[in-house]
Amino acid sequence: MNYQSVVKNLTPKEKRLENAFIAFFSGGLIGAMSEILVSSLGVDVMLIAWIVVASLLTGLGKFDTIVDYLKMGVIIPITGFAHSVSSAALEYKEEGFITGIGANFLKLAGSVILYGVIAASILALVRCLLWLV
Amino acid sequence: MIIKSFIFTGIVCLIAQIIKDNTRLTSGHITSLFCMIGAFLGFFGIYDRFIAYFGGGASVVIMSFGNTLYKTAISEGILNMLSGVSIGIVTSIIMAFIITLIFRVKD
Repeated sequence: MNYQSVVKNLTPKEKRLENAFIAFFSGGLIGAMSEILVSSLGVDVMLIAWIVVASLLTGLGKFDTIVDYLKMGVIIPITGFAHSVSSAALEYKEEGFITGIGANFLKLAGSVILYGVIAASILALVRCLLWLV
Repeated sequence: MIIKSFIFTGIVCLIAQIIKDNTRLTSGHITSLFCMIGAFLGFFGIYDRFIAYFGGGASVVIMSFGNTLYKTAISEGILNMLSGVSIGIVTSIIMAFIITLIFRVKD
């Protein structure tokens, strides 16, 4: 009983540590590659390159396996954004072009755009008010 | 600079992974949250310093999306704020459409 409770306490913690470690390394690898791309080709080319790579991997069905291995390291960079758009579009392909793809392709990325726009507009208004005062 | 980028992106992903493992939030919640945090850091002028110091590692994270939204809202006007991030959004949409035309979902 005591042993089992100890095991229960320890097992997920170990996994969490491992996950955090994996996320650190995979995210760091993407960051380092981005820095190489930015210093040689510029920020825009870097973003386009990651989006193209992530969309192609999603289309080939490999991205979910990569997420299983690399955890949040590939979700937090722009690859996660591209994956959310293309996976939603791909998933609803069967339901037709208008009611399927057209209606659903921003399903997950929409939350990032919505709350980013709301937060940025509130902060911009706050800044305008501060400037007036 | 490459090592700095590695450390910055790594730490951001580490924080995200810790949040995901210890709370009930999904990846969608966390990306939205990080986007808003990026806008907040942009508001205090911190994120530009991150980009200047850590380089490309700070531009690839989703927090950069919120920061760019805020910066464009200040410089171009609030209603023009999406012009700063249109490269990411439009490329994602075009690629997603091409992908849907070529591939089909595999189960």
